Amino acid sequence: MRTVERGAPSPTLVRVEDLEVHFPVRRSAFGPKSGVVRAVDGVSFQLRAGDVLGLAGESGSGKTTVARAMLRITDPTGGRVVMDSLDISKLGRAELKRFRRRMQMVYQDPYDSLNPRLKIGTTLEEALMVRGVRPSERTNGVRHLLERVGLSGAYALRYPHELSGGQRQRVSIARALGVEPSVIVCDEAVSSLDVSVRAQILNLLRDLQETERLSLLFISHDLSTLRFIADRVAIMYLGQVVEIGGREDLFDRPLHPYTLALLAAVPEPVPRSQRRPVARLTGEVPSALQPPGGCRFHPRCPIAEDICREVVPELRRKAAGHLAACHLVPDAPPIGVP
Amino acid sequence: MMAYLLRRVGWMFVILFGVATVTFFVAYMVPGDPARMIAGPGASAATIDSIRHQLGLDQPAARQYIDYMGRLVTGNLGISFLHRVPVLTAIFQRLGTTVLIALGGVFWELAIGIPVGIAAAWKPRSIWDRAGTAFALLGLSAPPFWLGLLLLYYLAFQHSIFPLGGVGHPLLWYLILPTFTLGIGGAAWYTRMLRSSMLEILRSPYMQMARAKGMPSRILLWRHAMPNAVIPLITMAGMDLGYFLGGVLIIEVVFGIPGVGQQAWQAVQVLDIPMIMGTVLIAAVFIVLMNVIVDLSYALFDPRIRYR
Amino acid sequence: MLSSGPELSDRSAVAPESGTRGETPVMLSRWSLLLRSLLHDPPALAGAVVVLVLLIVAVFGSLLAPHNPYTGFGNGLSKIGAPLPPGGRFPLGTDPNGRDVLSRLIFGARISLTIGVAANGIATLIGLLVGLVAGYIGGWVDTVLMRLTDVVMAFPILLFAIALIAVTGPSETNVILVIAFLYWTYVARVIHGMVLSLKEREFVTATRTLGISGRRIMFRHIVPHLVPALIVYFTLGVASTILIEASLSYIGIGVPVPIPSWGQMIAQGQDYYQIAPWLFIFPGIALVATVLAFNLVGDWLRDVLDPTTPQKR
Repeated sequence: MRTVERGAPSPTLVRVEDLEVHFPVRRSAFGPKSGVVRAVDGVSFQLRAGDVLGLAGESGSGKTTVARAMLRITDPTGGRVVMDSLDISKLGRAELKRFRRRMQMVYQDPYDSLNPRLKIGTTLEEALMVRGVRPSERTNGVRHLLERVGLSGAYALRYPHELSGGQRQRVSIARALGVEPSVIVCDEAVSSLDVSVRAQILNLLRDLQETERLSLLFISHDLSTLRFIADRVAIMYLGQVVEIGGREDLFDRPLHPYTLALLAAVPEPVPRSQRRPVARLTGEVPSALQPPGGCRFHPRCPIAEDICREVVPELRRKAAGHLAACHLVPDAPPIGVP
Repeated sequence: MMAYLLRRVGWMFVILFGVATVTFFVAYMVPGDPARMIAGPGASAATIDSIRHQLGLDQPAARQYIDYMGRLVTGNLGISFLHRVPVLTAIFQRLGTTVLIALGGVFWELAIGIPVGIAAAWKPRSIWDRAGTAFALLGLSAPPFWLGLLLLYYLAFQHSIFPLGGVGHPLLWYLILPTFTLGIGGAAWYTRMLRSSMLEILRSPYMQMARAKGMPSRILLWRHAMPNAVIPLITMAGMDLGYFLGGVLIIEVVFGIPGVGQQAWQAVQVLDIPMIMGTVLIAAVFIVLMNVIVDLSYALFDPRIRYR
Repeated sequence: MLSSGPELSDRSAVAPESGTRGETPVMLSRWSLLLRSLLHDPPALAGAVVVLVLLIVAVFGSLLAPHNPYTGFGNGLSKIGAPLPPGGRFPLGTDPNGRDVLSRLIFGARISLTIGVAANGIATLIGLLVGLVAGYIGGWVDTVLMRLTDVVMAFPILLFAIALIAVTGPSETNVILVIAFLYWTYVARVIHGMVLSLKEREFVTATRTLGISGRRIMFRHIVPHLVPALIVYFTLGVASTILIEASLSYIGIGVPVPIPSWGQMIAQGQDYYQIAPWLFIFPGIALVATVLAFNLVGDWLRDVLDPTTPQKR
């Protein structure tokens, strides 16, 4: 699945190709496999330098699993994750260490992602340790990291329980920055925070992304957050990407019925002047153990037709820089055809 | 279930193999010359050498190990230096008494531990609870051998209620004090465990709900809380049976009872290695067997375990 | 509300949250919290006092004992050569060799405590390492180490200890080592379980993703979470190891004869129970008091430090 981009392409940092993460389900530890959970089932996208790519979807869509597979927290069972021309999904533990410095993650739970028994400074020093900073220079380094995320150097002496949720996430961001990565994956990084704090952290991330020239993969179930921070957004459903496109394209001209339904569910403080067909989502997300045949969304899709039940739709280009996996959305004319 | 059973029994053999190996190493690293000890003082060098050869002690270690394991499989635990009889035979002769004591210990454990534990949990912070907890703490902290001596002194010597140790007729009467002493420590432990698990159950949301609905407390106690708390205890007692067969040594020495423990103790005095290690091995095998039986019965009653 | 004073450690913190509802949470130093909890718990307090007394006796024993515990006094026996009852020059009586029981008790405290603490310390260390490595690394390392633990646990402690000491010769060092090599398995089991669940915490995942070595994670991240449980088990463990040592000495396979050990004193007293019951009663009381004290303090520590610590078998 290749995409054709609009505008001047910046270099691709990470390319995910047909990523699969399947978990076997067993009745007992050594028993026979009785089923497979296809948490991620053929996901592809690219993350370009300086881009913020949003990954959206409900719980169970597989978005967190994608992130964990990219960072090798979980191992992929198929597909590739290519960075610096190397497939990092196949690297051994030793070689993997080098790539730890290229890609880092900020986690969802600010209360458990920092070791409660270590001072903030110690936690951050570890990031510097990985980078190879000399012990004598680490204290300064920690102070700089804290300042970059908007905290004073004094916080180095504090313990996590003395900090608020927002402050803890700042520390987590500082820790990720400490190894000087090119890519930071934010896994629901603001979902546990109060709304007012959320805006602060999102702004911080955006600023850092510009000043440090980072690429962000921002995972969230909250579309309004993604609208704020992402340049491009991919929508996931039951382990597959169903739509991917630039921010304006996706939010103003959504193509896939699932995207439409998600957007319709987003509460807006001021009613829209533009009327959009309201697609109400019915039913529940099916089990990932036995996904529906054909298009996985077809049981809940208001416009499903026979072909949707039988044939799996591919992710195809429907407009410039905008792809969707739906039989009922016409493909874009091939490039070069007037 | 079958899979779990096979797995569990498989591991059992691995453990038994490990136990036998460890036993061999301990027996092997004994200082001194077993051949000389068997031959007795004043034996000629030739006699000692021939005995050594007979016992296979002049073979390299690896060969001795293989021979040892081979003998074990056929049930040959060697010959006692002291008694000149096969160790296994000697142990089995005395096993009856010792098993009786162990069973008695388990009996007292449960007979005392369960009622006191229930009484303590029933009315927390009441006199029952405090007395029960105090009893438990003392029972845990008192050395069994000292307790046995104390009981002998007051109940057999000062006031001749019980016999002053040894065995005789009726056997059970002679075993009352020893089994009680053996079981008290366990009783203390069970009292505490039962108390804390019953308190936990009684405080649980579904209990509170039942009480709020008006169910009488007594039914709650007897029909709901108690069975859930007691069943794990029964199975633990099963495991204790195995451990007691090892711990019974002290009791037999204190009360002068001719059981496996006392025999092992005599063996220690003269460094009768085959007897010592044979007893240790038998005790370990019992413990492993009891553990497996307990695990399997757990799996029988609790389906969740089978699927782990 | 306690105000911060100079005696509070730097662990105390006043943490005004930015944009809070106007409260200023004050946290007390850990030590003053511990002390208050102890003062409110009479049994634990009694236990702590006894432990303290024991430590003092163990360290300053030679200064406190009225006589030399090894000296058999000529006038320590009655005219017919029987031990003297408590009173007078020998506050707790004498033993069959004319030695002062009180002095022997005091020196016995040092023996019991030394062996108990040393054996337990070694056992805790071994158990911690085994449980930590097996739990964190997992895989075949876990299987091998835990099966090894199972094998050692299959042996009945007392019986096997007796056999081992018989084989290696009774001495203080051997007793300590033998007890330690049998007792570590209980610690290892518990630590293993705790490490398995700690391994899943998000900060461990985060630190691993950062690229920090497993060794550092084990010792700098996981071990600090194990410390409260270790303290509890160490304290309770001393109670157990003292009992084991007493049993071994009673049997005669513990510390060699002239060294006064409570268990041994009981064994000696056993032969004279008809005429001198104090000989076996006093050491027993000392043992019970000691073990009880450590049990009480251990229970209190568990309640204070981590009520969720699993019960050890």
